[in-house]
Formats: sequence, structure tokens, C-alpha cells
Amino acid sequence: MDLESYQKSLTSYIRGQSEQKTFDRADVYRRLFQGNMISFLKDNKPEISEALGDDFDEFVLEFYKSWSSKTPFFYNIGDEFLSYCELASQQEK
Amino acid sequence: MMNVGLAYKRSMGELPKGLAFDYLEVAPENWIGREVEFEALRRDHSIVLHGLSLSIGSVDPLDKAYIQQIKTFMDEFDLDLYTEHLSFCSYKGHLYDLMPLPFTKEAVNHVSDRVEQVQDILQRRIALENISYYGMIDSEMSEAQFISDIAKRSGSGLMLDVNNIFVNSVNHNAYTPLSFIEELQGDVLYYHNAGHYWEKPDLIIDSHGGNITQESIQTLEAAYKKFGVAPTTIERDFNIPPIEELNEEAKWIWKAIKNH
Repeated sequence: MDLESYQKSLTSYIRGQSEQKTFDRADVYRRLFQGNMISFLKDNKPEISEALGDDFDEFVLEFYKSWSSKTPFFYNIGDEFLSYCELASQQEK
Repeated sequence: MMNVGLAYKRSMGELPKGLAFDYLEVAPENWIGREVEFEALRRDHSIVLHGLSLSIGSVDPLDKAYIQQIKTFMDEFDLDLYTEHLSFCSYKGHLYDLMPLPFTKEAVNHVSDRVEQVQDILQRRIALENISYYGMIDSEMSEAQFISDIAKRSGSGLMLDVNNIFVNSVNHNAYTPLSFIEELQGDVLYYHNAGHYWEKPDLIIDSHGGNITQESIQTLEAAYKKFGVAPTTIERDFNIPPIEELNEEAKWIWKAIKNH
């Protein structure tokens, strides 16, 4: 597998876009990534976490499945999540 | 002179006097754009930058605007050392996680070219860290050769995380910490040490959530013997204990330096 195919395959699996494991224990990466992101956004956007209640975790996972995050700065991740929430809310209307 | 450092998190709060650490390490991703706050930290401490979002191994284009921001930040605050991870953390968007690269010639060439570009922009030599990883990835060479080849081709330094060496030695059973150090070639500019979590007898998670271990201290001593002493940072991301406990850990590193 060339470098690009490998990176595409692994990130698709970790994001939950694909169920095809790139290697044994790729699930460790998915679990750590999802756990870290849910915990991070829960701490940074508690008002959204409270509003969504039990649905919050699933909502965050959907965010990472479909959103292409561009910022290298951690303090901007919350804002990208907020943009996603607004977009999701508009689509629902 | 920087010897023993602490990877500083805001959650650690204001640091007391009498620290056993003589410098702090921070992630530029948390401080660029917050220069006023950083100035206060810089006034009281020597600082090393350890990045998380460079994604040096990604096939995505290098984020040159971001690298330029790092250069401006380093120039403004008179910072010499910037280190990063030998990994990728983005593919068509950031995942904010350190994913392993395959140990292939294609990856050596790809990463080396990008390191040269980064060093050109920063006008500084950088050092890349051996990461912990959990899966058996496609390989044309050993991990130590992969790391050494990139350092040689790009002219970058090595940043050796001794906990990661131990974690990988258990998770992949491909080398011992000592044989890894023996095979590795290059200039070590910087070290890390941290704690970990045993999930299974053959799977350790590099959690940074516990105390540094006897195994990692032994690995550090072996690395000092081969590569010499360089600034050594203790990382603690979770279960952050009182500063007195971190000071005690710092003393283990000081002892290793004195024994060298």
C-alpha cells in the first residue's frame, strides 16, 4: 500500500467512515481518538453537551465523520464544532 | 543550561517557587495567538516548544502559514528549540492524534523533504520524536533505521522518548530498549520520559497518566551513555499529581544525569 492509500485507509477507519481495519489494533486508535475528542469538546462546549444530553457523544462522532478540521490550534476546535452545530441545525430546519 | 523540564499544562495552574525543573515545555498550538499570556510564562521560565499539529508525515500539503507563525513566535520570545513527532496527524483535515507512518523508503523520502522545508522556514534545526504505536504496520526496514535515515537525509536531530521505546518494545516484541538504542544513529537533542498504562500483558497505552517507571529510567541511562545528556522533559497529561510528586520524579532524572 502506498503512503497516501495507507493514510486514507487509517484515517477513514479512525473517523468511523469505514469499518476496514488498516492493521491489527487499529481499533485502539479509533477508541483513543473518539474518547479524547468527546472529552475535549465536553469540557470546551459544556452548554452543547448539556443541551444534547445523552446524544452528545454520538453527535461528536458524527462531527468527526463528516467535518474536515483545518485548524492546527486546539483552542479553535471548539469553534469548528460550533460551526458544525450551526450547519446541522440549519439543515434540520 | 537546560537539564530537566516539565511539560506544562494550564491545568497545572501557577507553578510554585522551588521547582525541581529548570525549564518548561509547551505546545505552540496552545499559545500562538495568546502572546500576552505567554509573555508572563516566558518571563519566569526557559521554554522549549514541542508541537503536535505539524503532521510532518502527512501527504496533505505542509501548512506553511502555520510554520511561519511558529517562526515568528520563536523569534519574538527568543526560543531555540522546536521538536515534533515523527508521525502524521491529518489527512484531508486534522485528527489531533499521532498516527504511525509505515517504515518505508517512500515515507523516508517524503518526510525528509518536508523536514528540510520546515527547517528552511524556521531557520533552525528541529528534532523529531519516536512515537509510540499500537499496530504492526507495513515495513521495509526497522523502526530504528527509519528514524535514523530521516535524520541523516534531512539533517534534523533526534528527540528520544524513552517511555515510547519501552512501550513499543512490549507492544511489538521486535526489539529490546537496549537493542533499539544500539541500532539508532543520529544526534539526540532532546529527551522525553512519561508514564504509561498496561491494558493487557502485550499492550501498553502511552497514556502520560502515571509516574515514570524504572524501565524508562534504565532506558534513559542507556541513551545518555550512547548519545550524551540533553534536556529531558517529564510529560504528565492526566491524573496530574501535586507538584511535590512531579518534583520527586524530576529528582530521578537529575540522579541519572549526575550518574552519567
